[in-house]
Amino acid sequence: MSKGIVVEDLSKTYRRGLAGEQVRALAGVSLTIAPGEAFGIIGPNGAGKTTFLGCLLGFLKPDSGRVTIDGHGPDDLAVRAMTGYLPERLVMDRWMNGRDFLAYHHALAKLPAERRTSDVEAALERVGLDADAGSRAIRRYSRGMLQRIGLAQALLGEPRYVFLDEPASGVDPAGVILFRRLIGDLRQRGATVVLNSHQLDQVERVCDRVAYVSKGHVQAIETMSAGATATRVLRVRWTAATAPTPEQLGAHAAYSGAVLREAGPSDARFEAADDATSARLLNSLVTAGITVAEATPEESRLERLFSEPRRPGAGA
Amino acid sequence: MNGTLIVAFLRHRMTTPIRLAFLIVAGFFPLLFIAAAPAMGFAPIADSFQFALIFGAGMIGQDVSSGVLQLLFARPVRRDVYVISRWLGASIGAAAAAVFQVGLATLILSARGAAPGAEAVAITLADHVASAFGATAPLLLLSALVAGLGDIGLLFLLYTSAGILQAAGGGLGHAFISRIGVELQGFLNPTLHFVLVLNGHPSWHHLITYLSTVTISIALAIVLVNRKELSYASSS
Repeated sequence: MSKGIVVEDLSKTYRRGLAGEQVRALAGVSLTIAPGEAFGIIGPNGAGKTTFLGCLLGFLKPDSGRVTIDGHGPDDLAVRAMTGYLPERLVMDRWMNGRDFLAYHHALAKLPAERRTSDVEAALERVGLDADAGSRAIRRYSRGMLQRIGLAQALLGEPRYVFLDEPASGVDPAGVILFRRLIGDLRQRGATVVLNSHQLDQVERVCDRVAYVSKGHVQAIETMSAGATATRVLRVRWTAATAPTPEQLGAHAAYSGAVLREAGPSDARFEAADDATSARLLNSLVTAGITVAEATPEESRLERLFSEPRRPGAGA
Repeated sequence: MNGTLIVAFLRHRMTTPIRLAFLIVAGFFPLLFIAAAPAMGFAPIADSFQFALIFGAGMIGQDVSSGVLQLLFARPVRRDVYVISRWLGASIGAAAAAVFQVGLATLILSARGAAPGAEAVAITLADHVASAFGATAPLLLLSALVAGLGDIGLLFLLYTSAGILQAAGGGLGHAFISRIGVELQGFLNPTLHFVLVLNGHPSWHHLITYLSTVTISIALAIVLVNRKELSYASSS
């Protein structure tokens, strides 16, 4: 039975420079990622995200604490056999062509040799690389193609755990949509996805939960399906025919418990404490006959994590 | 040992233009001497050291510096198996080149009227194959120590040091200093001489030195690779 990923009190320190200065990359990180969950990792540069991913993959040895995947250590060969990994730095065997590269990883993953050719062709097709791209040397690939072939190798053999480090970096909009669809497919078949990305909108769309990492700590874990409980600014736009006066807007805000920040001829900015306040405000405006065309938060839930000061270890 | 790793390694070596250029030069240049002076027999092709260098240089270090180890070790591949497969890949490549060279040398000698006996050919082949598997082992260790092609630099440094020690020992009249230089050179290029076996005087010391050098080099390389952390976070 799948046990998911369990991280207990993980700490990691690097020594840098001639003086051996100690830099703490992770400080007592603990969390659990359930089987079948899509889990995002976000945070500023140098926050410890890559170190965290390195520990999850068994590439780095933590100073203390431990990681288990399905009850095994992350460098256990049984874990490796059910893991797919897309690194941020797309350093691949660039002398191979795309098809050979996938066949090489298919063999390394100890997948059945009789399925190799068909699996490789299916993998190329899955990431939108045509036959010509499959025959081309990887050193001639564009950044977007490298990303696609990298994802294709990560998905070989339908792994149960998929670790993606900046999967949509350098990819065109069509590629971004494709990646989102592929991650959706992974989730549908029950794979556990760990996604490290700076692209917050992507993370917000595909992940069930998102950990905000900063200064080596997990500062917060957001459950994306839960209602927002933090204050945010909502921009509401209406059609010209139904434009309310600032006084009317102020009254709607007061009624719903929101605060009117700014009123313009075609839109206004309100501060709402939570989802319920936002809903009351919009309902009040619509009931009053104002044709609301758009209501968008100025800052997404994940962006807000970057602007709010947090205590170390607050969300871990 | 992992056949996929060995085949991919050899394919890479055979598709790298600079290595191919060196392989052609190192493979054919000594044959000119054999053609010019057939009386020398196989002497111009003393061992397989040059082939070990061509196939083995950077066998682990280049994987470390390029970053491909991350993807490789995300697969169910044991690190000791990876190290042994690298050594075998380089050794097989070097041995194949050496066998091809000895074959060509035999043809040239025969064409020049100095055909070697079957026994001499067999001994030369055995010596060259042993040299290929021997010389790649210390190179494997050096490649596990330093990134990129730093193993070549380290090898050159150690060889030069060995030469200096030999010369200094001779000049100063201290035999033990010379001996250190000789042993260091022997460690860097372990060889076997099958002619001694054939003559009924096998050198057990020689054989054990060869086997221990190869074994210790591979074991240390495995320890070094096992201790290696693989993340660009650690170096950023």
